[in-house]
Parts: sequence; C-alpha cells; structure tokens
Amino acid sequence: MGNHILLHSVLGSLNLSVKLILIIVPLMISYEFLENSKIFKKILNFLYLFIKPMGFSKNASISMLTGIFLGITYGSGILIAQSSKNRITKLDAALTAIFLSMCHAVIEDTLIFVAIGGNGAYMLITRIIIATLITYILYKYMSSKISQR
Amino acid sequence: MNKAQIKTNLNNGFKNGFSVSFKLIKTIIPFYIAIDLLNHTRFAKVLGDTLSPFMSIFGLSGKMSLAIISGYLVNLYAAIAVLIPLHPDWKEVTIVGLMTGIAHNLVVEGAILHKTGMNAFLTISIRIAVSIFAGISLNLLFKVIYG
Repeated sequence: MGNHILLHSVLGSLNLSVKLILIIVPLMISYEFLENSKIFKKILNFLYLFIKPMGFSKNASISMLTGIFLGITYGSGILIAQSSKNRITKLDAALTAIFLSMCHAVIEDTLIFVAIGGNGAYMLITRIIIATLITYILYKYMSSKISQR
Repeated sequence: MNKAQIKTNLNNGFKNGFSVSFKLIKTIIPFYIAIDLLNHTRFAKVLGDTLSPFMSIFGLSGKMSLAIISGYLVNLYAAIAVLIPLHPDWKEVTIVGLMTGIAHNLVVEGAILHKTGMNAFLTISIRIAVSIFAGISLNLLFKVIYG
C-alpha cells in the first residue's frame, strides 16, 4: 500500500514535468520572437511613459526594464553599476530597488503559472498595478521628506 | 525578419525553454513527492483545517498555505510543486501565482537587493505585506466578477 502511494507520487511528478516542458519550450520560443521584433521596442517606449510619473529618470529606466524582463540579478547588477558611477540619484536607486523587489522577471514568473492553468493577464496586470502604486506612494513620501530638509 | 534571425530565435527559445524547464523540474520532483505523500497523513489535514479560516481571505484552501510559504522561502518552482498535488482550480493558481510572484525567494533576493543599498529587512517586509494585500484584492475582484 505504501509503495503504491509512492509510485503514484513519482509518476505524478514526472507527468507534471513532461507537461511543463511541452508548454514552456514553445512559450519561450514565442517570447524570443517577440523580444527581437519591432513591436518590442514600441512596448519599451510605451512602458517608459508609465514609469516616468513614478519619479524615475531615463537612466533608471534601463535597470528598471532589464529587471522587469530579465530578473532581479541583472536588474540590480546594472543598478549597482549605475549608482557607483553616480549616474542616478539615491532616490532613483531606492525607487528602482523597491519596484523591482515586487516586479521582476515577470514574463517567466507569469508563464510558469500559466503553464499550470493560471490566468496570466490577472497575475501580470494586478502585480504591475500594485507595484506601481506602492512605488508611487514611496516616491511621494520620500520626496516630501527630502524637501522638508 | 531574415532566416538567420529566425534560426537564432528558435535556438535561444529552445535553450531558454529547456533551461527554465529543468530548473523547474529539479525543484518540482522532490517537493511534489514530499507534498503528495504528506497529503495522505493526518498532519496535513490538521494543518489545513487550522489554517483554512486564515487562507479563506485569499480564496485558498488551508493546505495551500504550504505553497505560499514554500514560495516565500524557496522559489516559485517550489510553490508550484506544492500546489499541483492539491488540485487547484484556475482562480487558486492565479492567486497563488500573484502572491508568490510578488514575494518569493525572500532571503536570497533580499540579500541581492541589500547590495543596491536597500535594507533587506525592509524589502522583505514590504514584499510580504504587499503580497498579502494583493492576494486579498484579487480574491475580492474574483468574487465580484465570478461570484
């Protein structure tokens, strides 16, 4: 009986693994085509329209966009490099770190949950809206603190 | 788009797809088996029953708290591995995906963010609080839209 349950679990986990490969590989190929298409640059420009009101400069937007699409390690790598060269302000760096902490590698994160049956639009849109809101509140709070000094 | 570009895209897509899949599978197999076995024990039932009033604010079952905790501490792959044997519906997958999407791998990523000058304790607290807020909000939205 015990063996039967274990076998069932092992088969279940292998079955899930195969399903995930079959779903994720085509999704990643499609994303690769999107990333190298002309539309993608338009999407990036479109995104900058949204992060500008949150207090981000054009310089910070590079680490933002890298972090959002590629992940926290790459995003904060660029962020560290830019702040050590004094290319961005402390406020910029703090806002980028806060936003990226909640919202990074969004494509991969969303796709793996879509692969197991989740709704990608709800996950992605809610995550971006909430991260934007929190960053905006912090921006307002921090900039009022700076101006008080 | 020329032929060379198409070939590069296919190549990179395959590579990324398999690398993501293998990362996923390495975590999923042990976690999935552990949770599926745990699921047959009394402990899982007691834990699920204890946590179910708290988890209902997210529209999740008590046992799904394990998926959230695994996501917070380990990563999204662990969260998925724990979630699947519990047979979630699409709304539950979406809510767990949102909550663990916002807050996951907290210790490691907290350390990475710490290097950018942001206090790790602060980013971890903010992420957990925001993830709970997001879970409650999306559950309310689902109740309004789908009843």
